Amino acid sequence: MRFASFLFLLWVIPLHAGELTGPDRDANGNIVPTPKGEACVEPAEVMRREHMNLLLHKRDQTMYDGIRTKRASLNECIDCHVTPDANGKTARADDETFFCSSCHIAASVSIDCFDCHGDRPLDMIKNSGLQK
Amino acid sequence: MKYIDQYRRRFLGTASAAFTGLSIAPGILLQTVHAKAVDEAVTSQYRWGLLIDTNLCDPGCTDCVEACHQENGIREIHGPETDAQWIRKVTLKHKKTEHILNMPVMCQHCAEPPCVDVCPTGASFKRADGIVLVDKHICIGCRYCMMACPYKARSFIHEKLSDQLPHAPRGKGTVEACTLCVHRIDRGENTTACTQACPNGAMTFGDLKDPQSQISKKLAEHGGRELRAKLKLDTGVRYQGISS
Ligand code: SF4
Ligand code: SF4
Repeated sequence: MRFASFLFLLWVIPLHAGELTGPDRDANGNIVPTPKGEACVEPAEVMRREHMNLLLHKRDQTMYDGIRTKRASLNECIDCHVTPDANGKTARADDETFFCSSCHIAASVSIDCFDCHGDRPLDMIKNSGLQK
Repeated sequence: MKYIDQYRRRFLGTASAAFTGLSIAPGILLQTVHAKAVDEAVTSQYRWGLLIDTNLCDPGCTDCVEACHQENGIREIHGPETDAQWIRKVTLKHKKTEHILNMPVMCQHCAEPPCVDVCPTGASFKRADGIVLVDKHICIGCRYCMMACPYKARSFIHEKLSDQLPHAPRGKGTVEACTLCVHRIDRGENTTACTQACPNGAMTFGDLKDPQSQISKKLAEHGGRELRAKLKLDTGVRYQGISS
């Protein structure tokens, strides 16, 4: 029995180490989720100021002209910025640990993108059994 | 906003008409057939459509409906009364002959779409290649289009949704309908989920403007009618085996 619980602890501690220390935070205490890729499509300063304009332009191109290139596509943002934790779970759009919400909650700017757009990559939706 | 304004002035319709074909001599059209590059805008060079042979459609089969729902992430919520339906199986009985017809009915991708005429915001629109869509970014959920559509093709989303598929955004408070698998067409695929799923080959997808396409050849050989043809909506979806 004791040995079993010792083994259990050995297994549990590394898995939950992230939870004990909590997510990465910047100097102001705001959560900064870690992306998957090596570099964003634009430097961080540009993305902070312009991401909405890039997304708006891309959205109209996709909607009306059928241009489904990857650059500035919301789907690509999600694939890179919504990454599973050690338990294979991702933060959901309403959570303060979700990439977009981590800033938007801090800045008190509400977004409704995720009313219509899925908030996790296709692989994750498939893993959840919702989609073949 | 640029795109919506363009649409409202019917700019796309007149501008792209110039690309439909090059005339080398009166009556002879030179058709340039090439697949769209991913960064190229759609043009009116194509008009996508479906041809459905009602004689091949099996009364008990719902494979096309299920394939559509799977493809677009439409999941059951509160049952058929309020759930979205992009394709419905319809059974019709001829009053005199008692002949029974079975067919899938979806958005007919009208060339003269009443849904677009009545939409107060410009959210309902027709792409240059004839696909009728809802821009949910500007749809206010007024449902005028649902009232105007002669085919009951559109659905309103009543519930908060989650885990929408990346290629098929959908959400509460907006209206939606068959997109003719627009995400596949933009990838250069020449079929839709429903067409692929039909075990009897009752559906044919293709370019109505290309005389060499399978759909055009079938239409040339056996014909195909529009549902409620008297409305003169010039639908992109045609049916065989119906009398009127
Ligand atoms: S079938 Fe209905 S929703 Fe589709 S284009 Fe025609 S009017 Fe609009
Ligand atoms: S429900 Fe949306 S798409 Fe339909 S008419 Fe109203 S604004 Fe237009």
